[in-house]
Formats: sequence, structure tokens, C-alpha cells
Amino acid sequence: MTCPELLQAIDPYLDDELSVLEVLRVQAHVLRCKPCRTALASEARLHALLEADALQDEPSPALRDLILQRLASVSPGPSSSRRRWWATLPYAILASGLLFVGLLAGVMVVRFPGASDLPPFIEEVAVKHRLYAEATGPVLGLKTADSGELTGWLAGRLGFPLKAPARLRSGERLVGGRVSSLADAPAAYLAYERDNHPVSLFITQRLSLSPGLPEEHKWIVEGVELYTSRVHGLTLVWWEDNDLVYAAASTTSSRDLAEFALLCVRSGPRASMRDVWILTANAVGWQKHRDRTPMTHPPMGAAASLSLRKSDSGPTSREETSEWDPVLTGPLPREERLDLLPDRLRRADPVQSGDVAQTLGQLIWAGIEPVHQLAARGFAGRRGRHWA
Amino acid sequence: VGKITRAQRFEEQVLPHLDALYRAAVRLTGTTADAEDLVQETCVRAFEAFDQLRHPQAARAWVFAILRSVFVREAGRQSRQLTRPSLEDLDGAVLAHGLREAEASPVRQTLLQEIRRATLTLPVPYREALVLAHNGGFSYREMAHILEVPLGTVMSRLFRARRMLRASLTEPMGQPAPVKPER
Repeated sequence: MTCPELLQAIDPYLDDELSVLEVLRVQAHVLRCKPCRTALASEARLHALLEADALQDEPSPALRDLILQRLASVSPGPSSSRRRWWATLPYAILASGLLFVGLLAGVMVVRFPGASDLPPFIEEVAVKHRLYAEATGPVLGLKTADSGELTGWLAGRLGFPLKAPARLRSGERLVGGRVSSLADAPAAYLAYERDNHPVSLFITQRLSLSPGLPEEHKWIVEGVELYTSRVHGLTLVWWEDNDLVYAAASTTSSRDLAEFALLCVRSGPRASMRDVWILTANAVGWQKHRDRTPMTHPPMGAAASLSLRKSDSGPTSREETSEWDPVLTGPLPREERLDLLPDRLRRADPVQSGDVAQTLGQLIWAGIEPVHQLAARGFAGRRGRHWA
Repeated sequence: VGKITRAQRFEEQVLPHLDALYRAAVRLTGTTADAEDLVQETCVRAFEAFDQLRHPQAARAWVFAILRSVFVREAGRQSRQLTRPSLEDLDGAVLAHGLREAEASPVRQTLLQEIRRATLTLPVPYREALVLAHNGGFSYREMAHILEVPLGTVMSRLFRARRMLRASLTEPMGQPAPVKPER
């Protein structure tokens, strides 16, 4: 370990973020290097003061009672708001049914909400819509009205191709987007405005809608299955498209939001399969590890590998694999994540493949799932240079 | 199946973190009154969204994420005043903390007071990173999740937060890290 490396490692060392091996390396270095030993001691003092300060202050004994009192008067969450919704069901069926049928040609089946549970992420969509829409500070990672630019930017950061409405209705505009999350999975957030009302579109890869689907919320419109509900005064519409889950939220009517959804569904294929490489990240031993809280070091014997194959060539196509031993590498710095990438990706475009590698590295490091499949493209710009 | 109400589960899973939430809130807002409001609002939001919490062992990170988002929204609303409180705005009670450290030496007490004051004047992104690390006790990975930023951003924010803290302390903290390291 060199001195610059050690200085970089001081914070993670004091924050208990290094692997056993790295801790030993740090200790070996400071034993023989006085300037680094001084730097470490000085940082350790600051850390100790911060830790000491962090234990001070007690809430007043009344605070807990106050909170319990307030909770008693709070409506007990989504179940009751759904009940309120059902209370108006006959009228809702009549009104929204007629509007919807009248508006959309080619309606095959129209069904309406019953008493089943909504997927948990729907509540999260509603909360995040409010959070982003009402925030006055900077929320968006990229402000642009160019749909192609935004989807390219988001896809480069999330590691999966996605699509957004290519054409918008009058009074409607794209504002920008950011990387967000839904149900603990990375998600794209796209902000729109319709007649000055915020409309949110969330896109994520790892949610599965299929099991426990609330059939009663389903509308099949022009062959597209849409689900809809109202949560906390918001209209939500969600659907699946090419293994991705899309969820839109707004204060507008469900008819209006369904139109928006259809614009998105119809906006053409998100990526030509010719351009898609499938990266498979296989993390062994992480599932078990995830249950340990808090997680600071990878478990002994955990390993991960990434392999790459072109999606249209079938399973027998050329496949490149690289192995990763997290016990030796610990939390992955960017360069090491890059090293994980199969040669073919790494050679193609260091910056772009670095983004994908970072996404993958974080997913694996987080131990979210034992096996990830991420489709990766060359998102080097709107027109796209491709790795293929 | 024993009948445990939603409120009882909330009390069991979330309220044990009340002290930690309050301490974090004090360091974020700078006044005990604002901190209590922030914690109350956080608990109400958490209770409303309690069905989202699928793993009780994730309750701490989950409720801290809510605290953080309520704070950031409020901070955005109140803009400058809250994001960078002037020293006059700070609650005397917050600065004159020290039940546990009462027996500490005057020098140490001064330093702790300095640390508290310096933390409160950090810009929000740095302050919240510091609070999550020290008051929340979260790992980088958990912080990345709570703050919705990449792991590298968490590390650089923490690094810069501590740098700024060090720079604003009046008492010398020992020698700074060498500028030109050997090799």
C-alpha cells in the first residue's frame, strides 16, 4: 500500500468499511510510515469526537407520548384509503368506465378494482411522486425536454434500456429525470408536466408484477394490460413492457394517465435486440450474507462472476466470464469494478462500461439478489455507439 | 395467530430508534423544537407507510430514510435559513449539551461544542452524510441507499464533510494529512 492509497483508505478504515485484508494492509503501512501514522491519528481524533458527540442529547420523555397520540389520530395507512375508494365504487365504475370506453378505441376488456391488495411499490410511487414534485430544491439529475437524451442518460446509469413517450400531447412537457429506486431496486424517474401539474414516470427492472397481481385493477386496452388505482389522492397507472415495470403518478384522472401510458407503450421498441448484450452477474454466497445486519464485510467464500453474451446468438454464443473474489477486493473501487467486466466490454468504451460496471458492482456488493441479468448497451449518446 | 395491531408492531419495530432519530434530527435542524417536530412528522409518515417495511431488521435504515427525506423537503422549503443556520439561530440548549460529557475536561467540552456548531453549519448534503454515519451508524452501502446516490458519492461527501469540519474548528486537531505524501 502506498501513501496516497493509505490516505484514501483512512476514512473507510475508521468507518469500518474495509475488508480484513485491507485493514491489515493499512496497519502494516502505518507501522513503518510516520507521516501516515500522524494523519491517521489525527483523523481518528476527529472521528472519536464525532462519535462522542453522536451519543449526546436525550429526547424529552414527552416526545414518545406525543408521537403515540398523533399516531392514534392518523388514518392507519393505505388499507383505509382503499376502503374509502371502494365506498365510491359504483359511481367510479360508471364514470370512469364510460369515459374510458368512450375515449379509447379497441378496448377489449375493462375490469375494475376489487378488494385485493395493491403491490407494495405502488405506495412508494405515490410517496416519491409527492416527494419529488413538492421538493423545491434540486431534485433532477438531468433537466432536459429531449426524451432521447434523458432515456440514454438514465439507461447509462441504470444499466438497462428503457423508453419514454416519444411524442407528448399538447400542454404536456418533459422536465427531466433522475436515478431513483423502487422496492429496493434501481429505478428511473422521469418528470413531466401536464397543464402545470406534475406527472411522474418510474421505470424499474426488478419488480415482478405477475404473482399476486390484483386482477381487479386490470384494464386491457389495445392489447396492453394497464393497472390503476388511487392512493392518497393520486392516480396511479402501472404496466409491464419488455420485462420492465412502468408506473405513472399524477393528480389527473385515470383516463388521462392511461392515455399517457399508451403513448409510452406505443413509442416503439426500446432497443434493437441486435444491440443488446446480456451481462449476467452471479454472486455466490451473498444470499445468506444479506440476512446479516449490519453488513460490513463480505462473507468468507463469497464469490461473484460476470459473464457477457450477445442476446440474439443463443446460449451457445461466445461468452466471456470474469471472476471476482470479494474477500480479496472488498467494496469495489471503480477501477476494480471495471476489471470485473469481460474483456470485450472493457475494450469498447472505458467510460460507458465503467458506468455499467459500477451499477453491477453496487448490486453485487449490496447482495440484493444472487443472480442479476442486466442488459447493457453502448449508451454513448443519443444515436448510440454500440459495443456490439 | 396472536392479534398484534399495526400500531403495536410500529411501536416494537420503529420506536426503539426514537433516541437515535432525535439525535440525528437535532444535528440536522439545530434546535430542539425543530428536531422534535421533525421526529414527529417522520413517525407519522412512517406509520402511514408502514406496510412498505417488509423486513423488520431494515426498520432503522427505513425510518432514517424517511427522516432524511422529510428534512430535505422542509429544508428546501425554508431554503437558506435552514440549510445554513447562522450561529444566532442555533438553540442554546443544543450547543450547551453535555449530560454524559459533563465530567469531561473543559478543553474536550469546548471541542465537542465546536464540533456540534461546525456540523450545523455544513451544507445539507454533507451534514446529512455525517449524521447518517455517526448518529445512524450506517454502512456506506446503507447510506447510498438512504441518500439515493452511488457509493462513491457517499464516500466523497463524508470525506469532504470531515474536511470542512476540520477546517472550521478553532481548536487545532493535530497535524493535517500530509499534502505531499512520499512515494
